[in-house]
Amino acid sequence: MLKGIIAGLLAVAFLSAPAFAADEATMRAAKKEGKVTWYTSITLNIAQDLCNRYNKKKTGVKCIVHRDGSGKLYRRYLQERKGGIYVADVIHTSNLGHFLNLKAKKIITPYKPAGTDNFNEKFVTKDNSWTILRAGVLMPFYNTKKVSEKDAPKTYADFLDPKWKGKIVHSHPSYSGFVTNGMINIVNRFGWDYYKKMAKQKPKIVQSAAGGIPLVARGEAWLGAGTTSYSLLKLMQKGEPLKPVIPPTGLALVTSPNGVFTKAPNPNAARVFTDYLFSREAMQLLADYFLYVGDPGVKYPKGLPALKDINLMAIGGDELKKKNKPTRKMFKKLFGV
Amino acid sequence: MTQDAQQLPGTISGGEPSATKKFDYTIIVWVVLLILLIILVANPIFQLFKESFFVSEDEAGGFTFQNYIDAFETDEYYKPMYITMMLAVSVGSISLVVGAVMAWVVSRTDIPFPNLIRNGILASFVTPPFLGAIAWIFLAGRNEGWLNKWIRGIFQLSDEFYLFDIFTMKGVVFAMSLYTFPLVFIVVLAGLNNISSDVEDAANVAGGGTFNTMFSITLPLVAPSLFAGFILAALEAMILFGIPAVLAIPAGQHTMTTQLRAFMVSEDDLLGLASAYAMPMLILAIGMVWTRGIVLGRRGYATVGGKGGQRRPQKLGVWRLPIFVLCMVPLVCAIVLPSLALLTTSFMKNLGGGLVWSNFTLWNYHFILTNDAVRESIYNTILLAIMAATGATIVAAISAFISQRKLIKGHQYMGFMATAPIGIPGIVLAVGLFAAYTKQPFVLYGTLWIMFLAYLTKYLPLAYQTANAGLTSIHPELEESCRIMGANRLQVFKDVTIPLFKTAVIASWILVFMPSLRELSASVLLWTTNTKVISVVIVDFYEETLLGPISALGVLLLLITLVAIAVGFRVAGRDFMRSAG
Amino acid sequence: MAVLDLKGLLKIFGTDVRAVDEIDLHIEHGELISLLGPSGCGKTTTLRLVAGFIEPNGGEIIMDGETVSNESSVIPPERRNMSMIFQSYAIWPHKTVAQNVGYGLKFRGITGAEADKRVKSLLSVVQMDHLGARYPGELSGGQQQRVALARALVVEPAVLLLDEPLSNLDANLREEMRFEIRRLHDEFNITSIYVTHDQAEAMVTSDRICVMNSGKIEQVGKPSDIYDIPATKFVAEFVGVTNSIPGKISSPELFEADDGAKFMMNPDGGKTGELVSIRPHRIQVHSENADVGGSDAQNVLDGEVTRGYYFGSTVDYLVKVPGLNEPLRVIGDPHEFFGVGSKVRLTIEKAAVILVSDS
Repeated sequence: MLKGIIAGLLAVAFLSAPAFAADEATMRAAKKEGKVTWYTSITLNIAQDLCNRYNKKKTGVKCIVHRDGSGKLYRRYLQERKGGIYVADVIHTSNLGHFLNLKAKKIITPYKPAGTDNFNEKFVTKDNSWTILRAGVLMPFYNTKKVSEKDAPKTYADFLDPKWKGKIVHSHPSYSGFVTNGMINIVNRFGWDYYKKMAKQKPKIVQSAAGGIPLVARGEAWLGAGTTSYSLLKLMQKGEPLKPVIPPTGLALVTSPNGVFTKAPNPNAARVFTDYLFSREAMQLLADYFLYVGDPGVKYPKGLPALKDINLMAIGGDELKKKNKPTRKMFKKLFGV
Repeated sequence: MTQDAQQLPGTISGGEPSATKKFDYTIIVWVVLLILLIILVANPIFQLFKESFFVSEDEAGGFTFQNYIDAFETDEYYKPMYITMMLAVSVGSISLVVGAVMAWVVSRTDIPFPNLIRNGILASFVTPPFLGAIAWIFLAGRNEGWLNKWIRGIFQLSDEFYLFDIFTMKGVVFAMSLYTFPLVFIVVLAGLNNISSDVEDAANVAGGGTFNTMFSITLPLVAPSLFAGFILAALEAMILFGIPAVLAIPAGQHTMTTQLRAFMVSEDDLLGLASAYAMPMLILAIGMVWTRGIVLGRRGYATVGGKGGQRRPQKLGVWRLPIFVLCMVPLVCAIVLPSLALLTTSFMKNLGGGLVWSNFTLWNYHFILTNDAVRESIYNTILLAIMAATGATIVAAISAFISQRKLIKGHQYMGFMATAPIGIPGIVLAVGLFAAYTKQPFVLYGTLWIMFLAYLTKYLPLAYQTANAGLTSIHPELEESCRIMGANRLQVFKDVTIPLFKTAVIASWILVFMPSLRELSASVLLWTTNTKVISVVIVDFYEETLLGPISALGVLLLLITLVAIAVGFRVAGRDFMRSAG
Repeated sequence: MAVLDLKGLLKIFGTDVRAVDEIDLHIEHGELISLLGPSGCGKTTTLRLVAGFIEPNGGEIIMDGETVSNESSVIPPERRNMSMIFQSYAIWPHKTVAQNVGYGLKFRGITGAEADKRVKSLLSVVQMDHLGARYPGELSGGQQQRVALARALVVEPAVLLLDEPLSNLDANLREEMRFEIRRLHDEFNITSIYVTHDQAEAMVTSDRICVMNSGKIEQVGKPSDIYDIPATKFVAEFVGVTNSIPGKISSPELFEADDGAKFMMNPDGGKTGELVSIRPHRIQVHSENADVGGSDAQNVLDGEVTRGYYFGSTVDYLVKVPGLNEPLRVIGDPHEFFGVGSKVRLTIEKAAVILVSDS
């Protein structure tokens, strides 16, 4: 038994040699590769900010962002792989289910980013297949100029009030892993009946989780059925007339993993860059954008409720993987697109 | 001399006579063209057809009709087809009425500034439809659209009141019609200008009044143009991707193009389903182009009499100004308002913040110009547009030259080959190219080349028609006279053909360059991380509702287009855009 | 200057259209010969064969003893030292008048001041010397025509080919340019082939006229011969107006019309044929029973006027004559006008009655 464990540990030590933080040799090799392509579903301005800061460090590795919805990134990578095209080095989406698939097909390879030893254990995986880069909640919200605090919905059910008909914006799960994740949580709690009624409210459909915010900010829609908490809070900080709804039933927690592709064209740069993503600097940046991160040392901005203060709903990767497709199908059926 | 005149130079088989034994270069030319046609059209369509009979996710699966069953059995997929048809008919009809009436007004009445109206309508091609649609969100959003706010302000109405709601099917029809009525206008105006005014004068002399003449003489004579215009507008409405993507999806409606794209970007591999779904579009589009060809082909009917001297414009009397104002409405809606909306939004810090100085920012421009992906997309866009314009122009110029100068055997099929892709909708072509060039042995996916192929195919007919028209105006005798003065074939080409053909070639280059700058329907399926173009970035941003950066990028795109047009006017003369119709 | 010989020249378009049907033609040094005929007669094709733009399917073209075209080899146009004037003038719109005229010189090794001098002198010959810097778009049709002439002549070609050069000009200008072309020919004396369908143009400009029809040569001769002694009905009718009377030779110098009338013929005319041709103005009209002298050198016929149009300088009559199925067309002197229904006596000189063949 003990023998087995030792053998196993040794095996891990050898086989998953790259699963350790980047050393000098990796650094040099990364510099030679010169660039890293990050497929990411985090909103573009954050992704770009991270990349720009990284590029300013002049590590010799240039970061290239390719931002898209979780589903589309997944499809795109598989499609490119089919054609023998390998562009992406690092992937980050909000769909744990996809990561299970990627892991099963050995499309991603284990890597343990530097400095994650003392991370909140919910943010790291035992086999290092991926590491959670950030977490957020799917937050309903409203426009404070159009809706008074008194009238504003307090619960999920309040969104089904006929007086909001045509004034809600809803994000499409086919493109946003964040939304799919949140929807599964809500369906678990309230059943599909909730969305049948939501469809009758004729919400405006946008194609990304954060896409609804500007519409509500402009007053084009009054309520948002759910968006990424970080985008919402950041824009509130900027002074947009928005406010979140925090239903007592709880908010869906969405954790977004980050992994390294097995066939990364720039394998060393991929690792160096991943290290950066989990560095204190990057972690603090994400925190400043109102995201929850695994690093216990970051300072969260004012206005971001502590996770322990929110009643959280969460699902595991397996459940996400199983319910992903049926959820999207059902949505299409109910909402038409 | 008709019989003699038909026998222009080199009509004899085997090409130009010469003292030496000649090599039959016919074969080489044909082989090259055939390969090109196979790469551009035949292979993608064949692959599309093939894929439609295999379920893509099922790797072991064999030949099946399952895709067709899936595509046409369920309501969700059936409904977009219905919506698309309704859109095509309504947009076609509205464009027909607006375009034809404006053409009549410009061609036949004493409306003030007819050239302003005419050039304005031509200029509405400058705004990419998807950009116009986005701008119209700012203008006619139900709650915050400027026009609604303005009306509320004037009439002191409640916040609940709205006159326009762009996120409806009516909004989609409106936005589409803005960009399709010019097609009708151009075709009908050409038709009207081709009718000798003597024919109408004769009707007047015979006792017919203005309206009687219009309905009993003019209308029947331009009927083919009207029909062709309707078909063009309806076809465009059917194959447009940008406007429905921007306006119909938020309204909970897919059209065939957006549904097709949804299949293609779904996290499930639905290439087979997408291929099956593309079939009715392909068949319909080809059918429409074909019908239009037949109707316009009866040329004796369409171009009666030729230009007949001085026209006697109909007097509009007191209606002159009101009608002028009415004619400006579509122009204002298609060009002025969207451009203003984009321009102001691009400088706004806070989208809900209104038009106040404290809300002014350059952040949106800073954002797009420091964003690597955007910068690369600008580079890619311009590079691709140059490649497509150059490629299409070269192929078009050579084919047109061979065709007009009857240089090789079978020259009469040259025009057909160059214009063969005309019926293929861009997005369908993209699915075909995707099916053909994402797998071994020809992997072009992930490179600019696959988009180059798409653009080349899409715009080759336009380039060919322009080059061909230009060449028609060069009388073969101009070349022969050069020949007999002592110049050989090459010198003739250098001294006469090229200088005279130059204008048409430049015009054709710019006419391909401009739409390539904003090509969306094919690009949106073919782009990859390294091959983004501006239009794709805009749609991308739209899906994240980054309206500020979109506006900035839109302004940039309009600027690039305007520069291209300015260069076009300078080099190729004022009327180079005319052949766009 | 050159001598041209076309021998058995044949050009077939498609599979069986014999556009030029084995024609033989000899053209002398410095001669201006017209190819005259209706549309599709093969005259332009003949010209293009001579120019070398197309190759013959048979026969040959010999220039100064050298074969320049035959079935198997064709010297390209640029090596024939010919010039051509086109129906559309083919003035290059992107070159100035002077550049147009001077273009051909560089291929003959003439450049610089010498070229300028020649261009100037040619432009002055065609009275265009003040317009050398203009672009063709700024010129009138007649001026463009003059540029085309200057351009063709400046290279001093061995042969000048003219393809309906005046057909795009308006009537007045056309008349003026006919004389101009003839004047230039007299000045430069270049062997020329002039294609036209206008008989007046051919008459004024040509030394000889070659009338073509359906790819074949009908008749070649001096303008006066073509007009006065046509060889065929086609020539008689195409070159001017005529009365063609079908019938047969009843005895030497006597022709009997199908309907009985008899005519004494010009002994210099054709010896065989199925018709006689009588030009309307060669018929004199006299009042009924007028004394017209003897009938041994002239034909005398009595008839009735069925139509008479007054033209100022002439009167155009139709006169019904017994023994002729068709009325005779007669151009008469307006000083003596005969109204419709008048009985008249016609006299026709023997020399005006020409026997022609039908084909």
